[in-house]
Amino acid sequence: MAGGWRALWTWLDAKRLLVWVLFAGIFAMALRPAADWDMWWHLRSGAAIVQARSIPLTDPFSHTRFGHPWVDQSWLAQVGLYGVYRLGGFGGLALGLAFAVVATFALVFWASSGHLYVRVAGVLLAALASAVFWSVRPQMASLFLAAAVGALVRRYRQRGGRALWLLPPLFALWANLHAAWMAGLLLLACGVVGEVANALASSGRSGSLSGRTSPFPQPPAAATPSLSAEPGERGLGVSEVRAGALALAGLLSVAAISLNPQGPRMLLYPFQTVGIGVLQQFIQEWASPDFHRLQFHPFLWLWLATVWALACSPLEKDWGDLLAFALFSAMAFTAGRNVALFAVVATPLLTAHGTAVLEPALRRLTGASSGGTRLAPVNWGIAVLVALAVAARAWAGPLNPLAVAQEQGARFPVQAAEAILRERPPGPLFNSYNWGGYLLWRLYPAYQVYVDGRTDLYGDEVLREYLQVVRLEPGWEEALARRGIRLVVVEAGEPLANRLRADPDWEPFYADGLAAVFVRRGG
Amino acid sequence: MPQGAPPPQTRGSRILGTEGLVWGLVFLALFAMAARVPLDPDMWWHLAAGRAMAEGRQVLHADIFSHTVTGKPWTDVYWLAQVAMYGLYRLGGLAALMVATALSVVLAFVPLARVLRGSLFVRAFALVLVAVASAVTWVPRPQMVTFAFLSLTFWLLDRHRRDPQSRVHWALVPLFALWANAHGGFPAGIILIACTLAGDALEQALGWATVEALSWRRMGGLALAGLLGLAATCLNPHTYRVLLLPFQTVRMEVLQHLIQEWASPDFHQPWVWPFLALLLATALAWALSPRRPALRDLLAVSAFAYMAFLGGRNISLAALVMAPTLAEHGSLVLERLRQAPRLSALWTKATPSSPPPARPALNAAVLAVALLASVGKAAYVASVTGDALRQTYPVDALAFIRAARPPREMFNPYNWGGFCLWELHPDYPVFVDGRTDLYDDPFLREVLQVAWAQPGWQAVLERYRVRFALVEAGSLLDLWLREEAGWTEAYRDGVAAVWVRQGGGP
Repeated sequence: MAGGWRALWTWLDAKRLLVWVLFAGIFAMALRPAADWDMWWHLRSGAAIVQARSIPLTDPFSHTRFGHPWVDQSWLAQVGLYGVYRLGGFGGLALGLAFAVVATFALVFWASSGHLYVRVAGVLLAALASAVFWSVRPQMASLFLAAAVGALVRRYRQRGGRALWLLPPLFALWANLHAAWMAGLLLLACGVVGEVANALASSGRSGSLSGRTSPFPQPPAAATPSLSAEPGERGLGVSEVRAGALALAGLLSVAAISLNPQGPRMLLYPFQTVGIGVLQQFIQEWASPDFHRLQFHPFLWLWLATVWALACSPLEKDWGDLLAFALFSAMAFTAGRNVALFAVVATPLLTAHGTAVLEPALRRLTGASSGGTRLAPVNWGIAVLVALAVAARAWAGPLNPLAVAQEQGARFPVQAAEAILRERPPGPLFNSYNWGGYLLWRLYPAYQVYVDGRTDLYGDEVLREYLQVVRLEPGWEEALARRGIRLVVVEAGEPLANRLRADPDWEPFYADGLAAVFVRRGG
Repeated sequence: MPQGAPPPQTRGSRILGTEGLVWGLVFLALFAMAARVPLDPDMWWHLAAGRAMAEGRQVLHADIFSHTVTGKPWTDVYWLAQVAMYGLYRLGGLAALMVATALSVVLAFVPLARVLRGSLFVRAFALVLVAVASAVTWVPRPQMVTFAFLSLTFWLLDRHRRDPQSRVHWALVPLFALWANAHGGFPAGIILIACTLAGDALEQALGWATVEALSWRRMGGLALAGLLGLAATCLNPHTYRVLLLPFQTVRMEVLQHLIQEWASPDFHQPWVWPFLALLLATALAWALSPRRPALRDLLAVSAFAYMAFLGGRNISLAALVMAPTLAEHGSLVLERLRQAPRLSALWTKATPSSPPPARPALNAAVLAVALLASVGKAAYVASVTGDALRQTYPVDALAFIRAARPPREMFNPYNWGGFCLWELHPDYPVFVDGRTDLYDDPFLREVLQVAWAQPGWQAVLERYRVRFALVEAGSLLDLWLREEAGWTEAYRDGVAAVWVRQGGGP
């Protein structure tokens, strides 16, 4: 017994403490009040699924798309979110997000090779880069699953084994949680192409033309005689076998994606989404990162650090890794929401090649011992202090109902919604896009929204009409009349609010520093 | 001469050989790409400044073109380029400016082409990629000087490195002196020199230095030349103030967020894709190359890429800096792939066993056709310039203003400020134009407040005693003025409208 306690006492050495501090820090970074724009319609959808015990196949929440086919690609995550909300409220959702982020980066840490210090620094940089997009939304499932798929593919390519066959069930789950499974398929495709390209580009001998060693060790030549075969000879090499296995796993995964309420139609969903022009141009998370905002700089640092590590590393480069790096770089530069995906893909490359570059310096740094029993009280003291600090942060912020209410009140038309529910002015409603999810959560079923964050549902037609109205472009009044709009909820300082304030056809119903509500005169 | 030996190459046969054909076609293509209708909004105020200085025979030190900041000290760092632009305009109008811009692009790429190493087609590919990435910035503006001089700086640094006996680095001193009188982009040259010094010093210190790295002595010479060059930038009418200009510019929030060329690149726009391709190709070439890239190249590409991510207008400079290292390592990667057993068989089948015979007559004919096509394109562009101007700028609206003579002061859109300044000065000073280093953040916010008809826009116009407004037809302000009491529409066409404050009309 005493021996067990002593072992535990000395188990927390400096290295483990470093890892603990890293993940405590990431947990603290991820702790934020549950106040995402889109969180609300996910909650409402989850509530509707639980209450009706069925998944909606048409839209019930808006009057512009009521009855239209709706691909609710995140139904399973929405049920989960609603369940967490019922159990723990907004605090529960905030804790859930923090744990999901830690789980994701723990997976990235596990999948990354190299020196501990480099892995810690790499994962920290990746967390900083992706933090801007952490929110209580099903997309966090995609981040975790992308890390999982990336880890499985890398592990298979390095060591073989049967873990590859976890991919099809993983994709089946993914297709019911969130629609970004295409990222996982891209990682698989990069693995396939990488195996083929490595085989084509290799020297065919145990070394390489540049004299560098491969991070993907080849089996001994005796086990795979075709590796040393002259070009044109028959026989499958290890690369070809692996490429075939990855391709087969990919095909099975594509089939598994069809195991969702929408069936095989789900396979077309990502292409439909990226084809929405307004989405790409005007929805911030689909826009290119604005590097004038400091929060995007960690992404640049991560990108440049990975480029430097790849450039200076003496290790042989894997074509699959490079293809994945290039592809996810392009995706991240094109749409800021892909920065988080890039971070989980790039980190294993950064740590492996960064370690190779820094190896001489790292050898000098890590010669000292971990300290043994002498430093154990200090280590445990630091660990406990860090835990207390994180707990205090959670208690003061996302777990504090007052703080959450304040945060939500600063972002959403809380008082305006209450006034509407109290007085029940006639609809239909025209609302600000950013507030669509919140109003859907608060006002449905009494009111259906005009628009919310389900851009795949509304498409270019409704979104362009929305922009026409809020920008007061020619025909905006006719657009409102065509929809029979009698109630408008927009940000108080927006041009539309200023215009309606001066318009004799509209009467101010409610106003505060954040929101303005107008009703059409004459009912 | 031994029997059967190939005849020695003459200069003419070299020019009309494969290499001459490739480079000839590349540079003629550059000329054709750069020959475009000169429609840049900022070109006009540069022309107006050049005209004012040529007529007044003195450099401008304060604003004379606006009524909102009239008399405010103005560091017109572009004066020499502006006088040259105006001189060209006097010689041949906008057509002369267009041809001069196209020629300056070609000349800017010559030093860069001489710096590139590697196989012919990789070098040509790298150059074309740089051209496509930077093409959007090829406009008749002094910034072409920065593009050309950065290319020249690159060539000087390359000569300094390759020839231990050369003293070409001292040419940096007069180069920077000239640069600081033509455009404020000379810090790009300083950054390039700094990256070269830092990279080579680091390699020497780490023991990574290759034969191409500068020795400590050569680094000292270059550092001294760089410092003298920096000091030489003060040899201009505004002296040391030109050194402060870059810091003032990057602090302006409105500039960074709302003026497109200062905003981060939008990678949804096709014109940015070549830059992304260049960036990723360079990263992949470095990773796959059998040789580690020089630290100076890593530092320079990182620094200029960072600048490009912060402001799209820096994409052209970043592309220029990436080209040499891409060509070098891209060639090495291709060579390495050629030696891979499975690919070498494919390569052997695809390439001829012996070089094709030289066809100088055919090459000359191809070059002649390309030359005709380039000149033809330039001529076509010159012929359609007038119509293009009319569709982009309020040509007829300004003619109305000159004829009707409404009372001052004027409000104009930001994008038309330069054109209004060129056409109406001195009769009607502008409200705002593209001289963002002159106007500060609070004022630019007021401009946006009016342009977007945000609450209080009427008070802004009142404060500046605006009596008539030139607006883009169908713009938000145009719609609001229609509803606003106290304003009358005096003119309208498909491009612009003129609204006059009642009690202040013609």
